[in-house]
Amino acid sequence: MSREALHETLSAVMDNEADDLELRRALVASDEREVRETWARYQVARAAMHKELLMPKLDLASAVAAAIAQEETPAKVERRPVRGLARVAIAASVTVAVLAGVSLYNQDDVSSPQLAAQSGQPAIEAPQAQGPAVLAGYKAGSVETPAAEDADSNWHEERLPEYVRQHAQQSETASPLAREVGVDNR
Amino acid sequence: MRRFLILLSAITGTAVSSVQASSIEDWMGKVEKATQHSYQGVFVHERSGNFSSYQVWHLSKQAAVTERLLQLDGPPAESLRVNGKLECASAGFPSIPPSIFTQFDFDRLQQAYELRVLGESRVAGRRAQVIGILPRDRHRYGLEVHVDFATGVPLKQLLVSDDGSLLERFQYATFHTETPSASELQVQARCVESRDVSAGSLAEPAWRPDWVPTAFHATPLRSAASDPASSALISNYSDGLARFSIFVEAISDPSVGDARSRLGPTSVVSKRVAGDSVDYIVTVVGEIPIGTAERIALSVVPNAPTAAPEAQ
Repeated sequence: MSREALHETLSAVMDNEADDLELRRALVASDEREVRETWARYQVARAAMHKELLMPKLDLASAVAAAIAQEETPAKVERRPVRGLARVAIAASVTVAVLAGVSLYNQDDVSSPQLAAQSGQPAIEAPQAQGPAVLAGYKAGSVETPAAEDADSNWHEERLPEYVRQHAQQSETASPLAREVGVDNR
Repeated sequence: MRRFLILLSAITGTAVSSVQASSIEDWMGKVEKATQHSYQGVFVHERSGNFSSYQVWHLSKQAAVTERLLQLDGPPAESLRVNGKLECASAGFPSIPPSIFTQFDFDRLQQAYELRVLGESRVAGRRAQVIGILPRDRHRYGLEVHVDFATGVPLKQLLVSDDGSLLERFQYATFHTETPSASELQVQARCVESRDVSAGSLAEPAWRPDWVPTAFHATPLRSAASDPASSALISNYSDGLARFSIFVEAISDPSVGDARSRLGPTSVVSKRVAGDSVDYIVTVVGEIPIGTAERIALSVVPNAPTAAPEAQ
């Protein structure tokens, strides 16, 4: 699988748009360090826009892989109901792992510009000490600073969250889904 | 027998839909008046896997509507609105505040969406009517609103893409019409007064999109003067439900290229545009499909008054 295609797949996985085959490919490739770093970077970018990220180093990809590895392999006979179940099970594992990650992200409030700087700091030890299955892949020092690679990602990581905030402000006083309605006549 | 059942369901289906079709205006009217009720409850808000819960106290008293929101997970952030205007918000309050979606411009919406009563449901233990706000083209998302029978308050809202995937969820878990007490509407000290965000004029911006989807109209920009990024904000468009913003910024770094990403319902597309002396980055941010955002971004051109007649 080419690097570009793999990045596309990762992006699709993040957006919940990957099909089973793509998901499998991504998981197979997730042993590679570079792929994991890319995944981490995507997570940072996304989380930064949501202003929720605390620990950019939390490696969700390996957490997901670990969760799936612990699952019972479905019987090899390719009966349709079993395949269907397996698909649900994988989806459930992904959800669990992602939720586990999110709950850690949400412990505090850190504004997004700080995120890039933060990735150089040592991550906290607590998740590792607890050692639940979904966090089995969490490594404190293995993922390197995601933003430092090229100026390209830097600019986008700094500016885009600010743009999203500005955009949200355009509808701040109206409700997010009834954005057109004026404030004053509410 | 089976044929009879199909026939029966066809007849009742037609009958029901004709009855419901006549009442969509009634339901929208009911939704519009929902803020006149006092209520409180707990709702969840979810977008692209991020999940938060909030407690709401909503008091309607002598034509004044006071509403306090408290985030129940993570840091205790809160906001207070009086008559829809943001009075104060904690530092940690989300930049995209989940609010109580009770305002719809019915006539405006109908240009871009088909509004339909879809059926009944039950949310937070209460009987609800389901209203579909269905896009007339592929340049916007659909919304399913579950409206409380008793009060008209939307108890649940699902934003869905054209392939049916869920982009954003807002849903009450508990809801009751007990009037909140004064102490419950009292914000904590951490709630700081809202920055003065003024609604600007619809001045002619230096850049403009050559193409926007049908029914999207420019709206006045709201910006705080102290905000550095506000100078990059060129314009904001809305179709009555969806909204997008256009940003243009000069860029000196040659390595900064195009970018596109999607965060739940929000698409972000950046395009580098070559200028005479300096390059620009055009960015479109909005609750629209990413392909639509891309097309808008590609159409943004400098708004040179002298060149305009030639361009058209």
